[in-house]
Amino acid sequence: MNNVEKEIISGLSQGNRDIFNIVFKSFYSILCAYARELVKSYQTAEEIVQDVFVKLWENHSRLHIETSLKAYLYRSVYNGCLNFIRDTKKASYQHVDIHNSGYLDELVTEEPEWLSSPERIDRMEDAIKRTIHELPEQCRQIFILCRHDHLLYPQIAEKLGISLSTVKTQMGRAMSRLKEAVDAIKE
Amino acid sequence: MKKIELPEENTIDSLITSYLSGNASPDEVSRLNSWASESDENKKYFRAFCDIWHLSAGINQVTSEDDYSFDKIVNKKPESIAEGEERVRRIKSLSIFKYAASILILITAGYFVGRLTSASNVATPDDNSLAVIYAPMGSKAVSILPDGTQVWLNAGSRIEYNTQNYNQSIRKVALVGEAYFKVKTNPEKPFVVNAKGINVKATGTEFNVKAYPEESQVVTTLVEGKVKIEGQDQSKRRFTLEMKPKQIVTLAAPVTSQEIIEKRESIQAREIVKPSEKKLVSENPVIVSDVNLDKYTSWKEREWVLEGEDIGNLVVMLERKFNVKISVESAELNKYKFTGTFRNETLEQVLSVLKIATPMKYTIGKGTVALRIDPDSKAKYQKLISTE
Repeated sequence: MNNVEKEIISGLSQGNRDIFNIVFKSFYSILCAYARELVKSYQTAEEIVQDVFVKLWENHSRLHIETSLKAYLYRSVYNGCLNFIRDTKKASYQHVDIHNSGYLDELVTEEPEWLSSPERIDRMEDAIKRTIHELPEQCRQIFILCRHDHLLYPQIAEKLGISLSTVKTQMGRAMSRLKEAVDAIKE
Repeated sequence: MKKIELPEENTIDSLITSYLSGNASPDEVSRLNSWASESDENKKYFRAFCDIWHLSAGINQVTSEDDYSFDKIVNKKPESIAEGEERVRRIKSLSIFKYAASILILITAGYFVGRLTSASNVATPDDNSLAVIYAPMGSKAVSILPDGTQVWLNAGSRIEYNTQNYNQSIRKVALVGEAYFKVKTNPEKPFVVNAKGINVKATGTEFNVKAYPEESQVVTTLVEGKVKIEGQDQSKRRFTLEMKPKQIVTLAAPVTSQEIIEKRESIQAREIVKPSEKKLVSENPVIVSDVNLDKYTSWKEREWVLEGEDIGNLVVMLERKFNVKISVESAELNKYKFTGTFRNETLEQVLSVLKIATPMKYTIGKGTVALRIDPDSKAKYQKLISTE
């Protein structure tokens, strides 16, 4: 944790509203995008992330972060998502898993190993960002349209005037490259 | 994992990616499900993809939502949706007034906050040495510099600094537009703002600098602490000025040919009111003491204060804040002064409030506003004045 991060955390624990605003604005979209992957709905994701920040504000005097601010926020959001999933499971009837994806869904929401390691988060993000930047032009375009603009494959195909199978292939390639880059991280 | 020759779109990598992106068909989902449950190795492989997919959310994120501010969330009350459902907090629909829709973020490599690419409003070219933080017209921005100094940028403003040598021996930033600085105290490393050829130096203090390219002056307001201004007066002599809190110093700084923007007739060179308090140090800088700080610094708060503003200043402020073009079609409006305190009002709301005290009519077009004198209310207005 560097000095500026210490400053910011100190500002948060003292209830400095300006710093709260800055932190909020810095992380809000990122955390919502992450939560959305776990709870499948952007609206729910927003509610969970907002809750995290409200609780952070209400308990600011008891704030204690040893890892990093980012890791702390990711962890809080992850926990919030798990709680939501658990609560909705209780509330809804046992639904027939027509898509037979129950096991996969569980895997998706399993606790990631990077959650408790701020260095790992930073290194992975660096590797991911760098690799996306280095992807061949069309491959990168497709990936961004999918990952950030949330277009579905057929929409991407139409938008770029290419075939659906090209989109599938390129997306697979992009993720393969990302995995290679992450695997290559020296710890 | 069995090595199967598949067309590339059907490889496991593509399959997992389709699933994570919400594009997998039921058949593909089943296949993937079976594959993942076959072995621990497969499960781990799948999990690795999940991690990457999830963390790739953090790259390239720019908040495109307007008005996302922590204050809005913390102040709203929970609303019940329907009987029997849990109360859920929701963000109410947001007004036009954009506060930092342009989100900032900081700085140099190794920073804890998500770094944005040039799609956002911190641009760091490949050599990573120059950082630019900006607020486009119609919105503001707030950020923290590497040393902990906080900076608020008004609409249409930006600051630049060199990431390599910021905070080495001095902390230097270049400013175009208007910014409010809350400088982190460090007597060893002075904080210097360079704007239109003038340097404003501080070690730990709060001050506001206004240096828009289309205006011919630099206005510095000192809130607290000490600040030194270094510049050249009209006869090219260098001078140094020490400011005291609650002072404003206005220096003429010529509009350079590169920065000349079409000057509107309604923009007048600003003159400080209260001549009785004028204290001239040299022929050039104008110093006024004991000012109402809110008038000059409230732009950064959600509440902004107008106090006896003439129409020229008002128009400039509104144009920047709401990113519209305003034309003043009755020269008579120049006679009136505008006063008011506003929070999150839309442009229309602001104008309707101003309309109460001044005989003014307005028409809002597409991105343009026209202001005219209102003869009917003017008559009433004058009647009111004459009966007092």
